Amino acid sequence: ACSSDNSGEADATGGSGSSGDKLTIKMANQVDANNFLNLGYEHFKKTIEEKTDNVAVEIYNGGTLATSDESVVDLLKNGTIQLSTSSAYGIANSLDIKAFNLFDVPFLFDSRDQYYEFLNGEYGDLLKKEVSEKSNLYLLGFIDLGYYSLLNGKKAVEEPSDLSGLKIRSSSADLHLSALKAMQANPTPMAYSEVFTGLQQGTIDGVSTTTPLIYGDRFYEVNKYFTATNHVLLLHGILVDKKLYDGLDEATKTALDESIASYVEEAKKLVTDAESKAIQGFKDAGVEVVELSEEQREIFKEATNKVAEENMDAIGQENYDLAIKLLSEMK
Amino acid sequence: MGSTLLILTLVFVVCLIINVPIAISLAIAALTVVLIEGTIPVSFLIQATFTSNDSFALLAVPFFILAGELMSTGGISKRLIDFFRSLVGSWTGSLGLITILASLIFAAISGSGAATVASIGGIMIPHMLKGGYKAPYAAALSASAGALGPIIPPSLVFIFYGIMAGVSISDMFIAGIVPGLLIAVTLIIINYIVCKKEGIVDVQSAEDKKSFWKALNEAKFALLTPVIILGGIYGGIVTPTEAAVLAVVYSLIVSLFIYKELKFSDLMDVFLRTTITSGTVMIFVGTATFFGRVLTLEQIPQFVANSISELTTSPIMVLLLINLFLLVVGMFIETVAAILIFIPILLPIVIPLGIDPLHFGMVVCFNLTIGLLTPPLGLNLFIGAKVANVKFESTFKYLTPMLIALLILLGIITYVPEITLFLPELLAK
Amino acid sequence: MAKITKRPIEAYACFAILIVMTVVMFAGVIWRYVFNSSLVWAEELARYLFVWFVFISASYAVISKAHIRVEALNGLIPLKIRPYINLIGSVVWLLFSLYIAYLGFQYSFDLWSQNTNSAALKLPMGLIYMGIPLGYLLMAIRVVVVEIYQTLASRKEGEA
Ligand code: NA
Ligand code: NA
Repeated sequence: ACSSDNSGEADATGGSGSSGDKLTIKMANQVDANNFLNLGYEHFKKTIEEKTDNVAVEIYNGGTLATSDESVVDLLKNGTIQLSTSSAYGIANSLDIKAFNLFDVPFLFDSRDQYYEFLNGEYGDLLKKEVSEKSNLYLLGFIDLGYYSLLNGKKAVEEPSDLSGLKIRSSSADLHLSALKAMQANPTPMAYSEVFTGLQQGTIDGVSTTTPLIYGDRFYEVNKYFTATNHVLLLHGILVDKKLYDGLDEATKTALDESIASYVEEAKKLVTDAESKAIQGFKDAGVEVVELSEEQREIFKEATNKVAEENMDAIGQENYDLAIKLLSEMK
Repeated sequence: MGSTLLILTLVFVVCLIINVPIAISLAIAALTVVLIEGTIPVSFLIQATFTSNDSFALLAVPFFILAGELMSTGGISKRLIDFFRSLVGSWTGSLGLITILASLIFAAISGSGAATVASIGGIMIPHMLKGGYKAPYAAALSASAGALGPIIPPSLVFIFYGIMAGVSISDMFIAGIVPGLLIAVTLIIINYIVCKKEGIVDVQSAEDKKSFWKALNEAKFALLTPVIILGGIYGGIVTPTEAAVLAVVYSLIVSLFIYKELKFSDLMDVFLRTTITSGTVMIFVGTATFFGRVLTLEQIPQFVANSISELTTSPIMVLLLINLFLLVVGMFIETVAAILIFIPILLPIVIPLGIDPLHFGMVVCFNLTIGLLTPPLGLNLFIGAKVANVKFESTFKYLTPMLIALLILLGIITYVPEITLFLPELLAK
Repeated sequence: MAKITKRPIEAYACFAILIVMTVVMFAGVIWRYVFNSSLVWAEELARYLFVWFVFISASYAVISKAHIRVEALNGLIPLKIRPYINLIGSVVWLLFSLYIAYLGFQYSFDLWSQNTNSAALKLPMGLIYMGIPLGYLLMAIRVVVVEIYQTLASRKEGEA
């Protein structure tokens, strides 16, 4: 009853937005001010502050409040912040919602368009319903932080066997580990802050994370082989405190919804820009960039086709079946 | 804003006056603000405490403390000193020189200043007294050489700074080597001048002086420890945290089975000394993080930054102000505590000025290390004075030139970032 | 006042945790280098043991009177009334520890009921968080025994 216990404080925080009260919305992320995720937050702040005269948004970036995806959700749950995004993995873990783990299944979607079409349909509604049932939060929408890819210092990776014996830094999430294992790599969890030196010194042979992060954190300066496996598209859900949202007057609620819609559009632009900037940056820095052909992608997809099955407990059979059904209907 | 800062400071200072531990005082001060302002739920305290302690990097702290404990209990200091005695002949101030060199190597094993003074000073001060050194000088020199402990890697202070500032701990470690060597060279020069002036020429008796090869052979396992720690990290075998574990396992083997100066029955005592040191330091992590985040949520760093930028926007002046402030802080507050309390406030001030967080980390850590030598809270100085059996006030005559030299070095490190950044950048190539 | 002859429970707990952490993390390095595979759970287990270690060791440090204070500030209080003032400080410390223990247990049980589990070992997060309130509860007990009771007892002896 963490949520109900803290509703009193959330009230004090929100000021309920009624009748001209100044309403402060606190947001938190873990990235630098110029990271595209934070720029998206800034876009939301600018939009809503322009649309209303009683809303102020405070953004705490760079991990000053939250240092992990789960802790962002925890801060939302206990009312320290009121609106933010967290990864599918963070939400799945912190709110115990298996349906979010689906998005860590490799090569599930054929394109970003298909991915958003899927999210804007029945499956997205299921996620929204579960978040609302399981917490004091609403799920307002979805953005992504880019495709997962691979960088290593040993050799150009064009097929799974190239990864054989390579120590690739991964998060310790089961699905991430399974996916890398299925691609024949040796997944190695390591504190993120040590990855750069780890790559440089060879404690690890490579890293698997999103393309914009590989660029933003300068890993490509020390390891020169990049493969755009694009095996997972990192989902972020936009979460808001129910107390705050329900307490808004109609005009403010409309302004917030519109600002979120505008944010979602802007976020899509920001992430695709970040990805193309990263790929160009790699090429400029002399990194060997492998972009998989249709056939090569099929080989990777084939190699990882057991990952979902192996992790069915985490995903939930009914969620997986529903997703497969919806995806086959979309084709 | 101003009133929040006032409440925070007032509650904190009152708690300190009535003898509440600093770590607890921090949390009480922040909690008071949370309860008064009502904008942050109290459960944030638990969340901040957990997320800050749930860190793999932080695990290095108890392990480096433990490795240091094992090494000093297990006979390593003695062998290091024997080795340097065989290396350094009968010169003006050679015992002082041996103290500095042995501290330098011990610092490459231990993460803290106090451990270095206790371990090397503990053996060398009695030798120096026998050799005609004045007790206050022996105390001052050992204490100053102990400043190498937190600057030469590994270093607990660097680990804490790295975590707070999101800077790679491996980078902090490598950055400390040049500043550390500068301290050693400076102390060697001062030692020579003082001993020359006071006419101290050390004469080693034949029984004191072991043959170089014999001493090297006996010290080889000790000398290998820094190689394992730093070689492990920079040879691409382990992360800093894992290096700390390797150091523990290695020093267990050396002290239990090779030097045989540690018995299994002593193990629990050694582990418990580590427990106490860790307990007093690690409790800060949660409370200082909570304190820092409440400051952030109350927008106090911005308030302080704005106040400073009204005074000056020159990086040179801002660094000067911060240095002066931290020198005062270092007089009163323990180094790690100071890092945890003030980095969340200071970092947002210097980053927009274009100061490299790695360079800033060295400035802060070097500055606070000087505080180990200044009363009223000067841990290195207290240990040195206790071993030499003198009042710490009596050391000031000798300590003053050393402090001045360290302050000059601080100035150089502050305004010549290359001294810090040169090695990490070289390594990146 | 009877001297503590036996070691307190915190000592055994911390000793055991330190040893397990050493073994687990060393195994992690060995596995990566010798067997070229990762002990994924090792890092997580070490981190969570560490959380427990921190707060139990903080309680142990009360027994050793090792917690860091600013003696220069405490020294400003006249010697005559200092014991009484410090007694107030100890009570403040005690109340704070009890409050954290209360908040922490509440938070941990909430987490437990929400079925949040750790990534690798699938341990309930509520259990892992529990190290914080448990440590502070132990600390509260030690503050009563070491800081408050002993101060009062030594006062009495002094008067007699
Ligand atoms: Na050191
Ligand atoms: Na000091």
